[in-house]
Formats: sequence, C-alpha cells, structure tokens
Amino acid sequence: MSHSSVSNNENVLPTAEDDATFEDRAAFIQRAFGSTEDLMKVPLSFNNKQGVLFYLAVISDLEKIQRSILFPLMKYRDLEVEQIPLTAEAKSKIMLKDSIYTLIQGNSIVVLEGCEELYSFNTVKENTRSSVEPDSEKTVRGSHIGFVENLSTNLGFIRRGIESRHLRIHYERIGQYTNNQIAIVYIDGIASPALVRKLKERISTLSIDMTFSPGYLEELLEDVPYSPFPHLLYTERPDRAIAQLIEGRIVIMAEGSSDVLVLPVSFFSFFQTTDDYNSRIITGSFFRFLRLISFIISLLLPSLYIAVIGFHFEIIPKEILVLVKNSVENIPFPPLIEAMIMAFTIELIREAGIRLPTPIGQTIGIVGGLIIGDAIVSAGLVSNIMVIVIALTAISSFTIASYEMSNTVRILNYPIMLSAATFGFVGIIFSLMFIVGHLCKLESLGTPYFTPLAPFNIKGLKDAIIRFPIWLLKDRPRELRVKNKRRLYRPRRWENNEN
Amino acid sequence: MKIDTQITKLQMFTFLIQTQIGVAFLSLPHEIHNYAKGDSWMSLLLTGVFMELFIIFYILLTNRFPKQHLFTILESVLGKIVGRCLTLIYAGYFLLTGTTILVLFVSMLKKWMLIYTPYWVILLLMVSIGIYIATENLQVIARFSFIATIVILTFIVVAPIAFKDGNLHYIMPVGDAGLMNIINGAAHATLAWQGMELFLLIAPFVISTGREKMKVFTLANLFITLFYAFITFTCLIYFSGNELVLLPQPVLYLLKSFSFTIIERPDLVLISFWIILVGTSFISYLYGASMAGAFLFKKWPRRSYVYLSAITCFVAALFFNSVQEITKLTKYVTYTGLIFLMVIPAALLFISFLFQKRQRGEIDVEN
Repeated sequence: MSHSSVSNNENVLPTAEDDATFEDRAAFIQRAFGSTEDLMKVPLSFNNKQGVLFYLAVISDLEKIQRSILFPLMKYRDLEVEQIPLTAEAKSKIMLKDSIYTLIQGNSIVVLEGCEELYSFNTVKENTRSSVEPDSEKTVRGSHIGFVENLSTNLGFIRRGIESRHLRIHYERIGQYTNNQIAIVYIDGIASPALVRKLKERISTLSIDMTFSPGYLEELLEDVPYSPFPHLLYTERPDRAIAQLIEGRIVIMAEGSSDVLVLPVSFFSFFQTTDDYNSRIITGSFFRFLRLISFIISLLLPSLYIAVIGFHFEIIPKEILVLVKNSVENIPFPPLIEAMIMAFTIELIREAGIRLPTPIGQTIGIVGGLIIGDAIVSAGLVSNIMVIVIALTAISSFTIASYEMSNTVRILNYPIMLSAATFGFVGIIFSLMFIVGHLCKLESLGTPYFTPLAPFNIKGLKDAIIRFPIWLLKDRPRELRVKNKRRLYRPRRWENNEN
Repeated sequence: MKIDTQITKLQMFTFLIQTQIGVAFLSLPHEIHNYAKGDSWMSLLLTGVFMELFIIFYILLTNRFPKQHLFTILESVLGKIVGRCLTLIYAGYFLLTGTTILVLFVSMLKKWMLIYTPYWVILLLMVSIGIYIATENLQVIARFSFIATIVILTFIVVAPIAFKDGNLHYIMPVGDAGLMNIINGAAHATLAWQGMELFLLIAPFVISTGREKMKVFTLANLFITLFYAFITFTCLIYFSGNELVLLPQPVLYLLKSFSFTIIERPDLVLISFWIILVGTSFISYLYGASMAGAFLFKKWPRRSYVYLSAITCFVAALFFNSVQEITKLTKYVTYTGLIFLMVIPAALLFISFLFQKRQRGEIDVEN
C-alpha cells in the first residue's frame, strides 16, 4: 500500500493473529474495510463449523461465487474443505494478513471456525460490456476507457483503479418512484470527514419523485443553483475520477448514467484535462494556459470589439483604423446587433448539429459556417471583422476543457456585450467586477470556488494556471481540508543514488 | 464561539491597500504639487512616515482589545451612551466618505469616458456593485480585494514607461520648495491614506498575532507610501511644474501620452481599471457603515444596512454633484477624515491607558 496510507495513524489496522478466533478474524477483515458498503459478508455453516464468506460486490462475479463456493460447500457438507472437488485454480490457502489484498483483487475469502488458514477463491469479475471512449472527454494519450451505464461496473472501475482498503462506497436510494441507486465514493483517510458528512446529509434529506442522472442530482445538491458557473464537475473517465478521489474529493455515481459527479471542485478544475498530465511538463502547462487564455478571449473579445467600435475608436492605432473603418462603414446595424446576429447564428448551428447524426451534423456545419458566414458578409449585413471576432470567440469557448464551462462562457457573453454596447469599457469592467465578485462568493459544498486565486493559495497555483511537474505537486488541495495533506514524499529519490 | 469568517494576513494587506488606494490617487500628484512643487514626492514619503506613527497607535489599541472591533472598543472605553453616539457619528462619516467617493468617481468618469451618459446611471452602476459585494461577509470582500490588487500592479508596470521621456531636472534642486511647503503638502496628502481607520474594524477577524498585524499593517503602509511616491515622482519628472498646475489628473494625462502598437490610448484602459480600485474602496466603506448600523440596532442583519447605506450614498450623491459642492465635500471629508483617522484612535488609546481599560472576558464580534 502507498506510503501515505501507512503514515495515517487512524487507519492503522488492529493487529490480528492467525490463531485468533474465527469471530476475531472476521471482525478484522470487516474493520479493515471500515464503513464501505460493498463488502459482502455471508454467514455459512459447513461441516458443523461456522464460517463467513467475504467478497467485494463490485468486482466479484456473483455467478462464480454461486457456482464455485456456495454450491460445492452445500453439496459436500461432510467433507473437509480440502477434499471438496473444486476447479484447481479457484482455490488457495492464504494467511490472514494477505486476506485484505486478496479481497481487493476481486477474490472471495472464506473464514472457517477452527481453521488457521483462510480460503481464497478466484471470483474476479470479467468485464462483459466493452466500454467506449467518452466523446466529450477524448484524450490523445492514456486510457481510452469510459464509464458505462451500470453502477456496479463503474464502481468496479474505481475499485480496480484504487486497490486500497480505504476506498469507501456508500449506497443510497433516491427517488420515490424510480428508487435509483446512487453511490457516494471517497477515500477514508484523505477526504475530509466533514465534507463527506455534509454531502451525506444533503443527499439523505433529498425528497424527490425521480432521478435519472447525476445532472438531476446536481441541481438539488449545489450551493447556488442560479449561478451561471458549474460547481460540480462531470466526468466520464475512470482515470479522472480516480485522480480526483486521490486528491480528496468525493464522487457521486448513479445507476444508469455514464457520467459521475465530482465535488467539491474549484473553478480551475474545469480547465484541467487528463492529457495535461499525460503530456510533457512544458506542453502540458502550455495547453493548460491556452485554455485559460481562451476562457478570457471568449468572455471578452466580442464585448471589447463592440466597446471599441461604439465608444473608443481612438484606442485603435491608425494603421488598423483604416481596415476596421472599411469593414464597418457600410453595415446598417450597430455593432451590438451585428454581434448578436452572429453569436446567435453560431449557437443555432451548434444546437442544430448536436443531436443530429454525424453526417447531417457535418452538413449543418458546412451550411451554417461556410455559407451563412460568407453570404452574410457579402450581403453587407455583418462586417467581416465581426465574423472573425465571433468565430474566434466560439472556437475559444470550445477550447475550454469542460462542456459546462464553455456553455457558461457563451451565455455570459450576452450580458457583457449588452453592457459594453451601453457603457463601453466601463460596462465591461462593471460586468467583470460582477463576475469576479460572484466567483469570490461561490462555494462548492462549502469550499471556496475561486481558490487558489481567492482565497489565495500559492501552493494551489501549482496546478491551476500551469501544470507544475508532477514531483512538485506534493500537497493535496488545501481548500478540501483533507486529512492526509501530503501526497508525495520524495518522488525522485533515485537522483540521490545516481550522483 | 469561533468566528468562522476570518481573513488571512495577505487578505488584510490587500483589503487595506485597496481601501486606501481609491478615487483620490489619480489627482494626487496635482493636489500635492499645489503645495510642495517639485518636492511633492518627499511630502508623500513624509506622510507615510507620519502615518506609521498612527499605525503604532492603532496596533496598541487593538492589542489592548484583541477580540473587539472599533465599535465595541468605543463602548468599552467610553461607556455605552457615548460609545454608541460615536458609533453613529462613525456611520455618518463612512457614509460621507462613501458619498464623496461616488461623487468624485462619477464626475471623473463623465469627464473622461462617458460624457453623454446620465449622471445617475453611472452612479447606479457603482452602487449596485457595492451592494452586490458588500452584502457578503468579510471573507468575500477580502477575496475580491485580493483579485483587484492585480490592477494596482498594472499601474506600477505601465507608469515607468514615462521614465524614458522624463526629465530629472524638473524635480531639481531637491528641497527647493522649502520644509514648510513639504510639510503642508504632506498634511494635504492624508486624504489619500483614508481607509486606514477600517483596520480597527477588521482587526479582530484577522488570523494573526498582534506582532504579525503590526508587520502586515506596516508593509501595507510601506506599499501605499512607495506607490503614491512612485506615481507622483513619475508625474513630476514627466510634466513640468507649469503643466502640473493645469492638469487635474496628471496620472491619466501621463498615460494618455503613451502609445503602444496595438493600443493607442492606454489611459482609457487604465481608467477602466481604476474603476475597480474605486469600487473596492466604496465596498469597504459600505461595509464599515453597515457594521455600525448592525452594531447599533441588532434587530436586522448587516445585509439590510448595506442596502440602507448604499441608498443613502446614492441619494446624497444625486443631490451634491455640482463643481462647488464637490470641492466642499472633499474639504469636509479631508477635515473629518483627520479626526477619524488620527484624533479619535489616539484619544481612545490615551483614555484606555489612563483608565487602565482593556478587554475583559470573551467578547464575540460578528462580521
């Protein structure tokens, strides 16, 4: 197990001797996994001896358990366990101290009264449904696995990724009629117990007739539902969910949904992608920075253009002035209307293309993008500079790693454009003040949203605006109030050995 | 009881500098130049040193009452009735300052950017952002101040461009204005330090010891002093003495004369940034006034006093906006500022020393 979990005193296992009574040994296993709800415990009675069967529901194959453990044990009640004819690879004897690791691998364990050793059975669940790479979170490098629509399979992904007994899965049922199962997943010893408690409390007080996705849940759980900014993160990637869990966040999964919810998150979480960490330090940082710049461009570019054309012509240098003037001169509309027409058209193209099959979607793109764009300029309705501005804005908004955040930006564009058209730069500055003020106010499950900028946290900035080398990201995010603050100790210790 | 909205030392630093750097600093070089001529920058350094003295007073006072803010200190030192009356007067002073900020801000903006926009519309914009942020707790206000500090950095980065066209002879010979004029200039610069008194309000909410507070407060003062002196110095070597007399906002004229390859008029960009600085000052004063209100009448939450204060400032700013009234208002604020900035804290300290008053027991303050 990792260094970090060893250093955590609270989770150090109680020592258990192999000669302890069978109840003690069962209790030892039970305690090792704490409050997680996917550890199954089935009492057995065999050969006049009591016993307990343990397995982790999300990574074990119930069919195999039935076939190779329960059924033979019932059938040959009078024999010793060794004598029962089972498939050869399926059974082995292990010591108590190895039992936890064996369980985490997906095996089942039988503890028997009067037997010093434990019996382990190979019941690892094979993946039946092939998972596909999520469309909304493609990566160039790294795993191409995505979550599927089955809760237990998804939990299996997490269990396989985090082979630690500290992983906790807590089930809950929501929806009076749909009665959907959801799972709250976190790592005991890292995630802040206060946050976990808060979330469980929020979930347990929900009273609603149906839920069908985490998105439905999101609205019920978030702190400021009217905020334009997303404060819970969706991901379809197990590797991302796992990384978030290790950082100390909590993941909510729901039956029937391939999206999982991560919380609490900060503003900058929406600009991180798995690729940042898979690519080299400099490239990773560059792309992260690019995404933040694209956020600013898509937020401000059209309004800056409107403000300059409408109010502050004098700010443009002479050389560019001629260009702009030629372009704008014969347009019948004020810049605001121009911008609105174009921005709205882009939204139309996006919305039209999104639900259509790919070939038709492409046609829409060509008709919308090329034909409308070209025709609208040659018809003299919109200036060609405005087309460039809005196109740049749209592209920048799609560069942002998160679909939710890119929508937010494009929606925020409209009020900023409006205020830029009314007050010029002053309007933009006031809108920015409102947005920044709002970001300072926002909290995600009680943790500040705009951190590490406000409240300022210089260590947190290492993974916000650019991505620092992995060996420097030594601490978990401070705002999560994690129990185990340190994540790395001396990641590149070999350097000392080689000099 | 633990106060759960506490702010860090860094936030205290940015809150203080953001409150102090506000509406006045664009015209500061011009104002001081009227008295101290080419030695204005020395006047500002002098004011900084002088203010450091009051910082010591402030710290001594808050160290005697570590868990109390200004209004509870007033009550502890002067008794319930006098203390409450003074709190009311403080509220009035915060409102007066808020109004002055609004009036100066709008008149400046109407001059430089929004010539045709109605007076009350600009006023409404500022009041609404004030309400939006001041209704939140101190933590949020401090976070906002922190982010706004980036704006000050842009001023510091852009201003030195003037050095290449500057003429050091404009400030030569050093000390030419005479000591009396330098001191006179320093006295008139105190308005630019206004906002320091809010330290007494936020002191109990800062997570630090008295010694650390002293350090942070001194650093903030150092920053402000150097910033003002730097900006003034830049203006002094860029404009001749005769020019400075004619330019009411020398900082903006300075910026106006620059031009970059893609921005021909940086002053328009920077005056927009300056709005943020004004905003943070206004928010701080709204916070101060609403704290006073919530302290006097505990019946309603602080939020409601923010609305009340903002509306009061709005209405007042709506009525007093002619040129003569602006000069009158500025004068009042300068003089009353002197009282609230220096006289009252010093007197409080003196009285608490004299009668051996210090904090007794646990007193909880809310923000």
